[in-house]
Formats: sequence, structure tokens, C-alpha cells
Amino acid sequence: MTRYSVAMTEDVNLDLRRHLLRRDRQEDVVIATWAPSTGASRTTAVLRRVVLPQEGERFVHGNASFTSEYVIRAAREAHQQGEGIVLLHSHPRGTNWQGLSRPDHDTEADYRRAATAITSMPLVGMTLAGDGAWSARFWHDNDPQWAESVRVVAPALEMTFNPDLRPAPATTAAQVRTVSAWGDQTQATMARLRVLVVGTGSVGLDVAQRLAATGLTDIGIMDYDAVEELNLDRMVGATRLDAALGRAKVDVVARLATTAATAQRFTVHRHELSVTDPDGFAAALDYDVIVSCVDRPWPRAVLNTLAYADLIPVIDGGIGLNSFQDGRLRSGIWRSHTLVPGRPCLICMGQVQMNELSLDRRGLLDDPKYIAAASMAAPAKQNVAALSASVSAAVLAQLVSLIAHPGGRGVPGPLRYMLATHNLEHVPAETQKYCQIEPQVALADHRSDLTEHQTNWRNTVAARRRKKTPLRLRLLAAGEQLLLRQIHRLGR
Amino acid sequence: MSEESATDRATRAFTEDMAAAGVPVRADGPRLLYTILAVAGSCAGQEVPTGVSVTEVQNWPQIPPHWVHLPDSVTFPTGETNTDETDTLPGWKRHSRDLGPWDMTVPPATAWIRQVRGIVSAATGKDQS
Repeated sequence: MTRYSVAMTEDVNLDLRRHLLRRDRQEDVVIATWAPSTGASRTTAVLRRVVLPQEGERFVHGNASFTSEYVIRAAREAHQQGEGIVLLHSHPRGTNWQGLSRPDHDTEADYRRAATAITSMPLVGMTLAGDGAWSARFWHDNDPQWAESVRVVAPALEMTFNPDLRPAPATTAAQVRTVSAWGDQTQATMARLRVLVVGTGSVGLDVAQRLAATGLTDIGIMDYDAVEELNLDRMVGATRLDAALGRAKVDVVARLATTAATAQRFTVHRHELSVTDPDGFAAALDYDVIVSCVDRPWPRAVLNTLAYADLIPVIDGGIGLNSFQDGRLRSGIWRSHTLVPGRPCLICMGQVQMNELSLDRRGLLDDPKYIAAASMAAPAKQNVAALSASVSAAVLAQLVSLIAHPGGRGVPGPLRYMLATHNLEHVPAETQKYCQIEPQVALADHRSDLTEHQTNWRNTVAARRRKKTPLRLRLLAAGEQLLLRQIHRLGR
Repeated sequence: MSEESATDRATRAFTEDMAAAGVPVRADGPRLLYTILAVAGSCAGQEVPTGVSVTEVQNWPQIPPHWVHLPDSVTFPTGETNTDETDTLPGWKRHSRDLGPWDMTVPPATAWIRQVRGIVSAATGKDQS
């Protein structure tokens, strides 16, 4: 069954608030347009622009109302752009997620047919409470389907959750110290966020476990690779048995995250997919926040576009270590940044070279012969567990700033830490004049598509599933499963 | 009237942007051909015919092309570019080497022309015959 949500930029949110929250505290109405962001199991209405009423197109009289002329004009304007319409009204004295009164239900139901007939898209209804909380519903027929959340995407992310579909989970005894740091409200937001970790190497694995320990109830992990022995110096918690079995990284991370989880009910969604493939991309669109722990240009470019076009904040980080020719450590830099409207994209920061994308797509960045002839630097492979923890710390600090807004501030601009001198710097990156990504803000499904259907990762996953496992390893795995099941029952 | 395909749309966007930057482009089967003025290296001051594959501009201007088509008369020191003959005219090759950062402080077509000039500047010579 499809889930629904709504997303908007801070600019659209401010425009709507200015119009809907009146000084005389009367209700008001307004119309906006929306574009769909279609995930594997969730559709998000991404608000595009506000269509303000003209003289005589709406009435304010305690309970405000739209005229049909206004609705039809807005629907026609939306249709020209391939968009749908949103009817919005305010409850100035309301707080939190708002239900739908009978008159409001009838108004939206009445305009549903006209809006759908003109735009060929469902009508969306939204209510703004006096405290700034949003609520939303989708009209496919005579009764609305409620959205699970509304997010206002900016350096300080604001979420409103539908308490029926995403109720705040009860705080558990294991979370007492976490809640004492930032209070019940932030914990309730943090716990209900759907966060996807893309890439489950040393950083992704650590991030997933800490999100679980923080009390999140739903996290996703995406990776199509398996654990190998050479991963064991960085994937802390992965075992020799995991490497011997060639277990999928998502399975190992799911096990470790479940062990670390403090929520009463905790679900890990495993995606053995590539985000550069349409299937992986659709799965990513089901989340509220994404943590990018991949280092290749192609997946990072895909997530970079998604962050702005689909209004899903992407937190990206990485480490670069370099050594002298004699093998001694020369220097290291780790970076963290959050991709949201109002902060520069990965290309403007110089973190992704767009003209390497066609090479990455063809696998040429893995070809040493190609790299040598192109006079390029080979992708750095060095990493050590002792330092990758710094990257996960930097990435998680961005997440906390995005959600908890310490000091009333959201995420900083891009940061980098210089290991040799131990300096933390704000990187002076700004949106470039001809940036091709940030103009795609809120385009949703109209974004430029950088994904490509691929067989290589599918073959990797299929080959792993076909692989025969020696009896001794199968017995060890069964014993391990039994033990873990018993441990997870403790205290639940 | 048929709707413009995504391929046609991307090709048209590339062609229009290049024309606006003063470099007219003509379509020739699976490639787009144009001429640039070399500004450095052994070809400096010469008009150098060049091109790109149509498949390489499908995400223009979000993703710039990478491989540069050049006639065999434009030569590079051995082992300093990757070459093949995908989509090229007879007697041409397409070349790939590190292009450096993609500059978004200038229009995309200007950035692309600069990158092509950068590659051509590394050529050891252009056969005048």
C-alpha cells in the first residue's frame, strides 16, 4: 500500500505562512502547485509554487473559502506545468497535526473532481496550525488518504508527523540519557524519521548502529556488496564468520543495528540495490533523510540531484588519507556537509567532478590502464578504522544539527578537518552561477534522470545468493542466529 | 505532430548552447561536429575540427561530455590519452584524459570549449597535409 508525504522548501513555507497566518487571527485559504516524487512505496507531493488569490477569488469570514474561479485558474496554471494543485487553509488556534472538519472535508471533496479533471492528478489538501505544524491528505476519491508526514526542508529541518500513522514511540529505559540531552519533542521527531544509509562500509555501518542506538524506529540500509576479509579492519562488528560466509553487508549491518537498537519496535529495511539504478533510486525516495557513505562520483551525483529535486536532505561525508612514497602517513582530511536548499551542492563544493560521471558509469575509474593513460589520480583506497570514526562523528553531528537545531541553528555549511594541523574549517563554498543542480529544487519526478538500469550489481547479488556454503559454516551461522534471537528477547 | 524525443531535446540544448558561445555545431549521424580555435600548445592559432558523440550529451547540461573526437592528424605523446573509435568519423579517434574540475562560474558551453582546448593544447602537433 502506498504511503504519502508532503515536502516543501523553507521559502514556500514562509510564503504560505505569511498568507495563511493572519494578524486578525481569522482563517484564510490559498492554493499551491505540486509535483510527484514517486518512491517504491511512498509518493511525496513536492510543493512547487504558491498561487496567490486575486481580488474576489477567496472569502475571509471566520471560515475562509475558495471561489471556483480561483480553483479553476490555479488548476489550469498547474496543468500547463504538469503539476497538481494543493488547497490549503489555516487553523490559527490549532496546534500540531490537524484533522478535517466536516465543512473542510466537503469543500475539498467538492473541488476534487474539478482539480483532477483539469490536472489529471489527485487533489492535495493541507492545513496549517497556528504553531506552524502542517497536516496533509491526498484525494484519490471521496475520502482522503492521509499523509504520514510533512517536511519543511531547510538547513533546520522541520517535520510534522501524522500521530495516527507515525505515532511518537514511547521512550524506553535505555533512552533516558539521550532524551535528557534534547527533550521529548526532539526525541519524538528523531525516532520517527525514516533515515536511509547508502553505503555500508566503515562509516555507514557505524552511522546505522548509532542511529539505532539513538532510538530511531525505521532505518534503511543500501548496499549490494558482501563482507570480505579485507573489510574487517574497518567494519567494526563484522566477524570472520561474516567474511567466510561472504554475507551481504546489509545483513551484517542489519544485525548490528538491531543489536544496538533502543526502540521498543525497530525495523531495518535492507536494500541490496544500487542507488544509481532506477530501483535503488525509487527505494531512496521513500526516506526523509539520507546519509551518503559512498565515495564514487556516480552515486554521489545521483544523491546530489535527489537532495534538491526531491527535497530529501542528504548528509554526505568522506575521508582522504595520503601517504609519503615510503608509506608513512602524510596527511588526512575528512569532510561533512548537508545538501539542502540554502547550502551548496556537491559539484559547487568541488566534491564531485561531473565530467567523471560518464567514466564511472562505464566502470573506467576501476581500470588501472585507463587511469594511467588519462593522467588521472587513481581513486584513493586508504582508510583506517581509527579515523573513519571521525567521519561518522562528523556526519552524525550534521544530522543532529539538522533535526535538533542546537543553539537554534541548523546545519553549518561544508566542514573539513585537517588531520596534520588538527584544524576544523568551514569550507568557503558557494553556489556557482551556472550550477545545474540547485535550479532543480522541487522538480521531483521532473528532475534530470542520472540513473541507468544495470546488470552488474544484480549479477553480484544473484551470484552471492546462489553460492553454496560448507556445512561447518552453515552450522556456525545457525548457532549464531539462535544466540542472537535469545539476546534480542532480553528486555523486550 | 510528434513530440520531441529526449535525445533530440538534449542534442538541441547542446547545439543551441554551443552556438550561443560562438561555436556552430552540425549533426552527423551518431556525432556532433564543430571546430574550435586552439589557443595553446603546438596547434595554437589553428582551427581544429572536433566533436562529441550524441550519446555523451544526453544529460546536457547537467552532465558534460567527456570523450573528445579528433582527427588522426591531431597527435598526442604515446600513452597520454585513452583512445577508441566509438562513433567517430573514419580517420578520427575519440580521446579521454583528465579534464580537471568542471567550471560552473561560466556557461556550460564555454566550460566545455575550454576543456576541449585544454586537451588540444596537449597535442604534439597537427598534420597540415
